This record gives sequence, C-alpha cells and structure tokens, in this order.
Amino acid sequence: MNDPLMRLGRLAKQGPSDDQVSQRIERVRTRFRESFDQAHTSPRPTLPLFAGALTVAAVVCGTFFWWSARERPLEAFAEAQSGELTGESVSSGQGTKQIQFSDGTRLSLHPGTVVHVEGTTSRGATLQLREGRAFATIVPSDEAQWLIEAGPYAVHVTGTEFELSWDPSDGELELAMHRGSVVLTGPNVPGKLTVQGSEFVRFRVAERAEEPPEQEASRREAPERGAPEQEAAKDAEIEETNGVRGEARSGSGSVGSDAGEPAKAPRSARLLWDLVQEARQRRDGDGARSALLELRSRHGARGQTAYLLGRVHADELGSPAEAIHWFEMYLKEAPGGSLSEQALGRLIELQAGTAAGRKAAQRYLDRYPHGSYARLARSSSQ
Amino acid sequence: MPSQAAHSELLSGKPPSQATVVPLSTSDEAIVKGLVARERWAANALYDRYAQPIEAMLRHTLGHERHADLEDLLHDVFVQALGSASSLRDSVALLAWLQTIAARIAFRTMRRRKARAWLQFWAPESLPEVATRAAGQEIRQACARLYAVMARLPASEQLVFSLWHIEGMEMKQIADVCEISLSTAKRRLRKARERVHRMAAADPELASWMTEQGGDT
Repeated sequence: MNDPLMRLGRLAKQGPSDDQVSQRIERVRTRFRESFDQAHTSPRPTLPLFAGALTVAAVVCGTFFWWSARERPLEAFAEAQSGELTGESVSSGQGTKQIQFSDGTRLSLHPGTVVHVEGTTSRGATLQLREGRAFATIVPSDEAQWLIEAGPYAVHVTGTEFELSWDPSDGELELAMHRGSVVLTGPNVPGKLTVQGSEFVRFRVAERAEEPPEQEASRREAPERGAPEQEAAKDAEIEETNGVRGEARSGSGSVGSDAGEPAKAPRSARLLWDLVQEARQRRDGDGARSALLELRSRHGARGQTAYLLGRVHADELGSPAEAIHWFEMYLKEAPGGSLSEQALGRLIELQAGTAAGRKAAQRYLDRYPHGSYARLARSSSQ
Repeated sequence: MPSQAAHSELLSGKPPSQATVVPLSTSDEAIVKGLVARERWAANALYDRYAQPIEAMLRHTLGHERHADLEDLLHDVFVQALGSASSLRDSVALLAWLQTIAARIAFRTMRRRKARAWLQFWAPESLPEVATRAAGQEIRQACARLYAVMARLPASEQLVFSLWHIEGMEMKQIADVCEISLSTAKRRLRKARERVHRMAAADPELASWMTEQGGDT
C-alpha cells in the first residue's frame, strides 16, 4: 500500500467505535420493524385531491395507527410450531429451539426445555420456564415488562441477557447473568434480589407447596398416614461459595437402607424430594420409587410424581408394564402438563408394535405434530 | 436446521401476523423466499444479517460524521429492499442486492448534499471533522480533508472513489453495485484519482500528510 491516498482511505474506514455502530444499528432495527408493521398492516393512502383536508386526516390516521401499533401485544414465533403461541407451550424436545418476539427479544431453549407463553402485552410477556434451561436476550426498553416464572420463582426483567434453568424435579433454579440486571423473587430469596453483572445464583425450593391430598388411585401407594409432620426449617441459609452468590440449600437427607420402607416417622415433602433426587442420581430405582410413593400418599403430590415413577420403572427398575401405568396416570392427573409430550413419547416407545402403541402415537401426533417424537409416532401409527 | 415440513410451512406465504415458523439458521435462499412471501421473520433476518456491512458501506462512502442522517439512510436501504423484494429471484445474492440499493441511496445523497451546499453556500470545509479510531489528531484532520476533497468530486466519481479507496471493493464489484460497466467504473476511478491528487496537492494539510507518508502529490 504505497499510495498515501489509499492508506488514508483505510484509516478513514476505521470510523467510530463498535459500540456507536451497534447502537446505531439497534436504533434503526426498531424503526425498520415498525416500518414493516405499518407496510403490512395499513393500506397506503391514495394521493389526496383536497390536500389540506386529507393531510389532516392522514395525520389523525397516522397517530391512530401509531398508537394501535404501539399498544399491540408482542407477537411470538417459534420454530416448527403452528398457531398462536399465547397460551401455548414450546418444547425443544431433544434439540434446540428459539422463541422470537416481535420486539426482537429472543429465548433460546436448550434440549429438554419447556416454556409456556402465558401472555404478551405491548411491553413484554409473561413466560413460564417449566423445565430445562433457556438463554434470554431481552431487548432493553424503559417500558419493558417481562416476567419469567420458574416454579415458585419469578424473574422480573427490563432488558438484559441471562441464562435461566429450572429443574422441577429438584426444585432448583439457576440464574447466570450475562448483561444488565434482573430482580428475582421466590422461596429462600431474600426479598427482591437484584442479580446483575456476571453473577450466578442458585436457589432450591426449601419446601414444596403441597397440593390438597386426593384419594389415591393407585393400588401401590400405602394408605397409611403418619403423625403430624415435624417439618424441617423452611428457610435455608444463603451461602457465599465459589462464585455462587446465593445458594439456598434445602435440608438434605440420605437414602438409607430403609428408604424403601413405609416411613416410620413423618418426612417432609422437601426431604422426600431430596431423597428422590439423590436416589435417581445413584440409579437407586427402589429408593426413588419409595420416596415418590410416599410423596403421593403422604403429601398428595400428583402429576410430576407419576411421571417420575414412570421413568424410574422404565429406566431403573426395568418394569415396562408399571412404567406404562404411571405414564398413563400422569396424563390423567396432568392432561395439559408440561411433561405430557414426554409421557406420550415414552408410551409410544414402551408399547411399540401394539394397538395401544398405535393409539398413543396417534394421540401424540394430534397434540404434537412437530414434536420431537413425531417421526417415531408416524412410523408407529402405521 | 428446520425440518422439510417446517420449511414448506415457512414458505407458504402466510400473512405476517400468522407467521409462526422461524428457522434457527436460515439460508439466503430461504430469506429471499420469505421476503417474497412478506414474512416478518425474513425481514428481521435480512436486517440482522446485513445491517452491519450496509451501515459500514454508507458510512465509508458518505463519512459518518458528515451525515447526521446516516440512520435514516440505513433505514431507507432496508425499506426500499422490502419494497422491491417481490421482484427478487431465488438465487439472488442478498448482500450484492442490498449494496446496489445502498449505492443508489449514497449517490442520491451525494447529489442532494451538493445541491444543498450550493444553495446554502455551505462549504464542505465547514462540516465537522471525521472521527476515526485511528488516534492522532493529524490523521483525523487528514481524513476530514480527504472527505472534504471527495465532496468536490462529481457524485458519480465520488461514489466510485470512496468504494475503491475506503470501502475497499474490487472494481468488478464496484461496477456491479453502481450498475455501470467495468470500463466506465475504471474510467471514473481514474478521473477521480486525478482530481483528488490535484486537489490534495493544493490542500496544505493533505499535501503535508501525503508528503510525510512518502507519496507523490
């Protein structure tokens, strides 16, 4: 590059900072989206014959359309999912999936994640992370109102990037901030906790909310009810450990040799969930089954316990008939539950080649035509 | 990647409010089809993918601090792109297509600025200097003078010169983007270089800088 003019041209090319350019592009992005909406929602006015009167009319109409567009609820889109997303659940199945909102906000779902779009407004949306892990990029705005619920926890957002994970079986929430800040509320969270910067927090539900006990339908579940429970302390302490700003740990318990026996002393739901989790990690099917059955009989925990019992029987105990029973039970107890797709998928796998399997496949395809088991369901339904 | 079924649904041309399928990774071909079907996601994907190079091209050809309306121009490029999307062919190269639109807009802007400067006796020298990340005050001034000199070129030559010297495009690419023949592009660049060298030699700051850099003014 001997030509000084060429050299000067290259220097002039360097221009402003990346931040300035990014901000400019971001500002234009918003305008461009509005232009797209206007071009596709309102017809262009024809050339006015009475310019004055029509100009006034155009201004009035323009203001009206601007306000209409401004107040219109955000639209949500997701890969391979048809219909309105509001009120719907999006499951990433075995793969990944992205939910996009019309303001540019994105939610990237990791495998095995289920997000329910509770509702949208012109300023944001209410979402429920029912299971799994999601990376959220919320477009910043002073008026933004986003709420992401994960079990009993709630994350209030105005504009930021973070990763949120919720494991309903463990009652554990993880929040990793990438940019900006959020306000977190929920069990064991000290008040309204502001999480910001690159902080990471993990909380675990100290005591699961108990559902009203129901008549136990299963022949397997022990009817006995113990003395009134001596529940463990509900609030766990917040620890400062290894970059984990706040980590609420529930009381722990171990699955002893008698874990499979009916409880001699009443055990809290929190302790039982811990026992389930630990047993599953140790691949102790009997221990997990006993704790789950006790949760159902003693604490009336329905839905998720049935699903987990299905999984324990299928994966750990090698008893497909029992697994089928429990997956069916889950679908009865929680027909619109977040694990319905997985339960139906398991039923297809467990009953492959049978009439019941074909029926399950058809049920699956009716509800999840693009779901992660769709291919298996199509081949099984024929 | 989206399934074939998802793609077929994606390309089915639903009205924007009903569009519900957004591939995670989209090819240019899918974006073209989405644009033709007036899908919202395609417009978003087009902007997400190409806003940066088009913004840079506009900034390089027009000078980023010399045009308070750079955001308007960037917006215009994509709005015009949407307006003409219905005529797109499947195999069109999206970036080249957008660059052509950006070049037209840059050319019109240059002409408008010249007319406005003439009407208002608004000499290019009075414009704010061009800020660069290239540190030194001396370089900043030289860059500002370069843009001031370029602004005195005919718009057609200014565009070709800036695309070559600042944006760094190849001649063939410049010819395509400016919708002129290769020989015309070369001729315009040659004329522009001659003029710029002449004006630079007459400009004390530019001449000084070029002499320091070992160039022949």
